[in-house]
Amino acid sequence: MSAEALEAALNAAGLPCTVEARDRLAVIVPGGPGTWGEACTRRSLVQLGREHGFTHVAVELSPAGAALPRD
Amino acid sequence: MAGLESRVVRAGPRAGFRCSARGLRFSFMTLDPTASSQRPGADAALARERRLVEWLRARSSALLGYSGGVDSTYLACVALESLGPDRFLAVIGRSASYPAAQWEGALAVARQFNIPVLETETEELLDPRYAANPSNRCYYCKGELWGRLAPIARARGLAAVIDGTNADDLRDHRPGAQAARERGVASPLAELGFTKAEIRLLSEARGIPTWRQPASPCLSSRIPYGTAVTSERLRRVELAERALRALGVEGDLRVRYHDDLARVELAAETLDAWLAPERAAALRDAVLGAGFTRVAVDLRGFRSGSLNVLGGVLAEAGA
Repeated sequence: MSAEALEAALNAAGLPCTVEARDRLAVIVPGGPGTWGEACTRRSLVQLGREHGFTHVAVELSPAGAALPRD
Repeated sequence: MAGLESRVVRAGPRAGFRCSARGLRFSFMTLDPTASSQRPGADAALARERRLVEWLRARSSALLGYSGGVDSTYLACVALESLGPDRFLAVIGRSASYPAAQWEGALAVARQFNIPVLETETEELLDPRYAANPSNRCYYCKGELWGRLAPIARARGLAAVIDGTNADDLRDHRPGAQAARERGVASPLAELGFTKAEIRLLSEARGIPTWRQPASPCLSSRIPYGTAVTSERLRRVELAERALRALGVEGDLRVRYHDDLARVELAAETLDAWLAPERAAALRDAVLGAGFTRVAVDLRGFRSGSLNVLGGVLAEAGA
């Protein structure tokens, strides 16, 4: 289980973010515009998280500005 | 020490067999085995209900641990119908881990069906073995609950102490069931093979409003194993879930406690709507208002027993 590896994979996929690990929960903190909330993206993120050893993947709703910014 | 029997909320009047009357009426209207528009599974469910009535009558009287959830509400209605109000009592165990909204719902349904209800305080949070939140936390909670309810049954001459555990529950991680067994608590729904789907079907037929109510385990189930359960944490979770309900969240909902961060599990089919920017912002603000400093949405949505998987107690389904 590696937050760094998941974060690198997400950034390489064009989803700028940081990832925090809390046990087997990965918390994705969006770092910029993205389509985090779309169904296909959600499925991919969950799958990617699983490949990196996480049983749970959640995306943080930014405390400032628009939540889940989109392009 | 809190009072054992705080008050009788509503004693079932002799003439108050609304549950029975309604049940029969709906049985004929909706679940009549001879009807041409039979619902799938209705025959088996009705047969099981007949066996439940026999089971209850063979005990002659019973005390039920009542939460206002789908299972115990259905069982309360059938038990009242089978035994009568003088030989049946539903008891609510109240503590900080029992959501106020569910308590209100439990009393409302009891009033609707004239279910005789007694409330008693439970103090599982004062037990350090419970508060430490081990993976068998429920064992200590149920030990406290049944340890209080069994003497009430004895004092009132009620022969059986029963709970609403169903057959599906037996496949889940349920350490509380061991505490029930150790105290002689019977689980007729599980014993007779009632599935959750059957209980919902039979509840609907009887006009019991809980038939489509989401499962509603105690608030401590929102706190990961190993993280201490405190009244303040439970209250924060409860406030957040209340705020989300007020915002319009329907169906399954859990606010999982991760220290400063709330992880919100929503019904999967509602994720698209709630992750749209404007609604996501409203959702976030509602949870922040409950005292969390960060909010995240689980991308798979609600999963029953989610923290069992996170805590490694259960393997992930399909993994």
